[in-house]
Amino acid sequence: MTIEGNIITASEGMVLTNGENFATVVRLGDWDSADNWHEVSREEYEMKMAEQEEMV
Amino acid sequence: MDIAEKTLRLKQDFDDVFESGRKNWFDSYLSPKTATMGLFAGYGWNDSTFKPTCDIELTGYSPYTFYYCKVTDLVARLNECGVKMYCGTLSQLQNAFAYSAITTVPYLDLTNCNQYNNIFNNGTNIRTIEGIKVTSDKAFTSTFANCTSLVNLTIDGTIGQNGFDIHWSTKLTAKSIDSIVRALTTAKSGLTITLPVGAYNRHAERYGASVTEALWAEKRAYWSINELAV
Repeated sequence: MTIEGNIITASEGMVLTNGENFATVVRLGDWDSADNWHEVSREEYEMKMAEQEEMV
Repeated sequence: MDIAEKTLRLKQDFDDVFESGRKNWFDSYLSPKTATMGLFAGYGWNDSTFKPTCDIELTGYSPYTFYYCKVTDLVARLNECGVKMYCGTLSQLQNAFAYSAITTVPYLDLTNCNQYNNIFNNGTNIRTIEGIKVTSDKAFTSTFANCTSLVNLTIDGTIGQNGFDIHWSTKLTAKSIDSIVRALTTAKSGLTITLPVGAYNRHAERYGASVTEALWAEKRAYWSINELAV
């Protein structure tokens, strides 16, 4: 992932997560930190989404 | 009275009886209820059969209200019938438009709705939500999940809880994005919202870079404003 100022951009094929939310671009709020975000693979993200969909 | 006039009269009488029966049935069907779960769910409801004769109040426990319904332009149908649809005190409206053919949703005042979870979930044909009036104390969990056709949305009120996610709606107009971002609360911090990928740039193209930067900066103390590609 790349960090420019308050903007984090996910690497190709990856998705950013803070454990609760997912994003390909994060515009950090003043309260937030890049340390709160890490990358997961697109597959991991889609698996998580499928799980959530099943719960609905 | 000649045969042509009699035939015409007979047809008119038949139509009058049919309309009267239809009105009685609809009036009875839409009489005050304590819950409207699945009220217009199913393939049987389409642009020909959906002819309400009085206002529709969504009330109580009301998930699946238009589940698999084949009505298309709901706003046009309500207008043609001269009736309104409004929300009373609602406990749930989960999956209300899921897998329906509905393209337009009338303005919904959701201030008396206990929760906003999954309301438009899987409303894959919804193009326009005329507006929703919301309060800051309720979360939008999966409210817009899979709303892949959504173009127009107006938020009236304040978004005040974590997790509003509308990234599936990649066709959202700049005006809709503007409405969402302006609705973000500035009363508390530590919140996250997820918009479709390119939302910031689309807003900047429409309103100008300085306006977009100022709006996002105004919310930055309270929100991380993210984008997610489908």
